[in-house]
Amino acid sequence: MLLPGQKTSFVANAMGCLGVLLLLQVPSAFAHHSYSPIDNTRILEVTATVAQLEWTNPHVFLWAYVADETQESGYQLYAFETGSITMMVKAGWTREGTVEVGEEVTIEYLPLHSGEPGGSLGTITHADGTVTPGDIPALRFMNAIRAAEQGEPQ
Amino acid sequence: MSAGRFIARNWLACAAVALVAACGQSADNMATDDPTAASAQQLPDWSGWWEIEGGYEAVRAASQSGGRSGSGNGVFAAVANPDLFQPEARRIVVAGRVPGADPGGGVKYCVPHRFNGGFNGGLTNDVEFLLMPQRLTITNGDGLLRRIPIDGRPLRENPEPSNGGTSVGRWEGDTLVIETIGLYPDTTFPMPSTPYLPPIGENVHVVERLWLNEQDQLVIDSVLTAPQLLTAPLSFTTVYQRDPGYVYRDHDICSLNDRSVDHETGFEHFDLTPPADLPPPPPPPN
Repeated sequence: MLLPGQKTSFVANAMGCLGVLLLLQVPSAFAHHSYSPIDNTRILEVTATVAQLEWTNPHVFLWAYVADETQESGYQLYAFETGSITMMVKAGWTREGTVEVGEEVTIEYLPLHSGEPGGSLGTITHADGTVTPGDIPALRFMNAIRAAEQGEPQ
Repeated sequence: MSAGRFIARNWLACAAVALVAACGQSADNMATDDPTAASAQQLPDWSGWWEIEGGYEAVRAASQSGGRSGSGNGVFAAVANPDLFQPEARRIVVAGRVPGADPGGGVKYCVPHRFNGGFNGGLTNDVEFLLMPQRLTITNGDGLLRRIPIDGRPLRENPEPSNGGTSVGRWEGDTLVIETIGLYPDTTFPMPSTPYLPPIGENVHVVERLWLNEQDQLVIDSVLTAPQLLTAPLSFTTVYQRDPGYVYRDHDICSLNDRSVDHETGFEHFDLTPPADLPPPPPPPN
């Protein structure tokens, strides 16, 4: 298990080339903003306890507590951004059924540039091993990061 | 009885007749007789909600496999060739797609959903093609609204820019041909109302041919002419499939609770203010 915020990938050197390759392969769909607060060159992973699924437009947010000894409460509150309600419903999410409050999950995400606790949600892995994907932009960048790590052509 | 006395005695009925006549005259002034106009019985069945062929799963699968396009068809597949873009447009796209780069340009907060000549929707929010004998209305879950008269009127010259553009349609057999101009030059491409993408520019002209294929899919063959954006007219085909299970949900990108935008500055941020009703953390781990 990784510590909160620990890097699982960092391929900045490859990302310049990758970005050009991504140029026209990835439609810039789904965004009314540029995701500039998000560092889309790194994938992080945390184990977290679900606090709330904030089911709202234009972005559904997952709030979760992550164990952190530096905090008085023993936890740090993380915020994970996903797509719109319609987008997440298309992805198979439901307001009540995707996660349960108090459920322990493992979350892959693209972190914030600021280093604050949160980012763009990639995947949720549940205790039984099932994986719930997040929204498409995060998945695209995660795929690109992993492909670059493995030296795969895009 | 004189006409004057008849009207005086029956003023209410006369007023109603006059109103109906005026309305009819008004409608006649707007449209011309179109020998190709279809009756309601002749119209193809375009009812219901439509999504890009393959639906959301196809888009997600492509994203996870490094697919070359998000939709598998349509304008996103068509723009895979960078040589299609004028130099300045390509520069903007390159700058915006470099992971980790700040593309700048602020946000497109509260820019209404616009038609950019290439995309009517159907990736994350479905599309409706509301077909009537003398008009087609195209709308989607993101708020796009295009009204296309099919009544024989000519395409208005030099219209003011509008979110949906100025269009006319005409039937060629079972195919509806739509011609559109008057789009906002700063509308982005290939996805509208999106930062870090190039604008479509001036003098955009779009021709779309809509028809149902044998698989009951709605096909749109498009030719987009955008001289400030593209080096040559771009031809592409978008295939829609019916999505009977789709449930419409309003998607308003101007939502005041958008955590992605600082409402005071208009710039992007990431609001980490917890919801007021957030439950307390679990007991400290042992």
